[in-house]
Amino acid sequence: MPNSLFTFPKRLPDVPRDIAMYRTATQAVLSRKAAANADFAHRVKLYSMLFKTSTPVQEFGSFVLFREAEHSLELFRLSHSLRWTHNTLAHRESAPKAALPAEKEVQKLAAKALQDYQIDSANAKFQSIAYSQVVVATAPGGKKAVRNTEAHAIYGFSLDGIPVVGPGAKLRASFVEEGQMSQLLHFWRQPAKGKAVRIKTPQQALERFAQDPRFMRLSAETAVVDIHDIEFNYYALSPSDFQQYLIPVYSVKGTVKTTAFPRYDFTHRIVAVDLSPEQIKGLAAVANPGSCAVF
Amino acid sequence: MGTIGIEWVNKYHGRASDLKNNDDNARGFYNTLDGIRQFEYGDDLAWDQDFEQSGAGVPTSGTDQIYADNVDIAFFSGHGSQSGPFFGVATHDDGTARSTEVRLGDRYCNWVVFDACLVLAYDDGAVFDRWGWPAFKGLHYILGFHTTTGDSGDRGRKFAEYLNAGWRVRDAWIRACQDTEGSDVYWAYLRADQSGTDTYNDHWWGKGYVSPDPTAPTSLAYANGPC
Repeated sequence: MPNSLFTFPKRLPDVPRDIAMYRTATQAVLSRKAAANADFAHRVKLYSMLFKTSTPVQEFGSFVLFREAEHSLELFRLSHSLRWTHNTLAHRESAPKAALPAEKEVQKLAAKALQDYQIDSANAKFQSIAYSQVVVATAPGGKKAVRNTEAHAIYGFSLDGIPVVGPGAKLRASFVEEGQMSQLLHFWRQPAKGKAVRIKTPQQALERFAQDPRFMRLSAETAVVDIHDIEFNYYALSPSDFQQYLIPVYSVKGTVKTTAFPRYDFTHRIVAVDLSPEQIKGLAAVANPGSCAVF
Repeated sequence: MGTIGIEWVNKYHGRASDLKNNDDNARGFYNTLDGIRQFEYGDDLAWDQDFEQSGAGVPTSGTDQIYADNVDIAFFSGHGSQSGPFFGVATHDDGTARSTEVRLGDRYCNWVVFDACLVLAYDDGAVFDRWGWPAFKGLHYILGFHTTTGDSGDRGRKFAEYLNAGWRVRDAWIRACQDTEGSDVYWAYLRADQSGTDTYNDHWWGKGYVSPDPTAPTSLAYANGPC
């Protein structure tokens, strides 16, 4: 791929020629069928019981909300997603009254929470622990103490060994001192394996990437686009978005450097199946097929 | 009722790679938030000086008194770095709304969103040196990201929806970030307070408590976490 603006990785991943499409069950939720409504009503009933809600449900279109005095529970209509949040402990700025649980303990607490709240984690695996941090300054200059305010157990999803990425594939349980849960995020759509489709090769994906309009105004004399990594993934849209299939994508990580803007690290996704916007519309795969090529 | 201003950039004329979704992102915010829509400038009409104080820094061509500091909430969507939000043209000022030139809140601005990479990168505390005290002249919050972030087309709309639904400003921003990014991206904000103010509990106008302005802040709180 000769192109002096781009530098490509020396090694490309081995990817099968055909890959299974995963249909998500949200089409049932979208329809007006009694079964779809019953499915959502069942989720509302189940989770309001498990999370012990007592207030009336509030309707916000793409999600419903139970806003309790101590916590809130959001249930999303267009995916099988939920967000439970402790109103004062989640994202707080105040210092913990005792040490946060150790990493191993956070992992154990998270596993128990998934079980207690009947979270479908069949395709998820524990990945890492991360922290929210707060720093308060009371005068310019001077040393400031960084405090960890929450510990998050982060899980990653995969299907057939292929990572599922994007905001709609997120499972995370967060904890503060004494093992109290501060937030539980489960953004996911239950997938059903569908037929296999032919996908682009990594080389074809990079050729498509190099033609993306984002780079049309860059000149090789003043800019370089250095691609570090390319990986095959399924992509899940935001939990409140319509999505009928997980999108097979190549995730391309790289850096753009120009004389005016020294560094822009990016991750872009190239749709890995060769479908026209018309074909995507025909499948009713996503709400806006025109947005799907490189994103 | 609160006033709203947005600026967005997709076309960078080779100064950086172009982006695709910042018009949708900023307009989603503008057209969804309950309030008075006061200005929208995109691409070549979005200028760094619109966020900068007249006479501050070099060049001294700031005009925030009629743009960013003339609304309650200003929202920028485009490229960014530790130096500040990055614009597509540098013919009016230098093309970056630099922390040395941003002074908000001496007129109306309570909240500014820099929906752009790295503007609020912690950098071992350097975020306070960059955006710390002089930028906050009554401003309550700078909302943005500690890390790089994606070219989202709908974070602005989701942020507005959560504000309209009555979440506090900080909770609404964090929720919008959780809905639009993976856990490898970190949201961030910088918040000012002083005696008699409580910006922690700020809501959008008409949706709950709004703190008096911290015109001479005595504390700045920086927070970040995984989206």
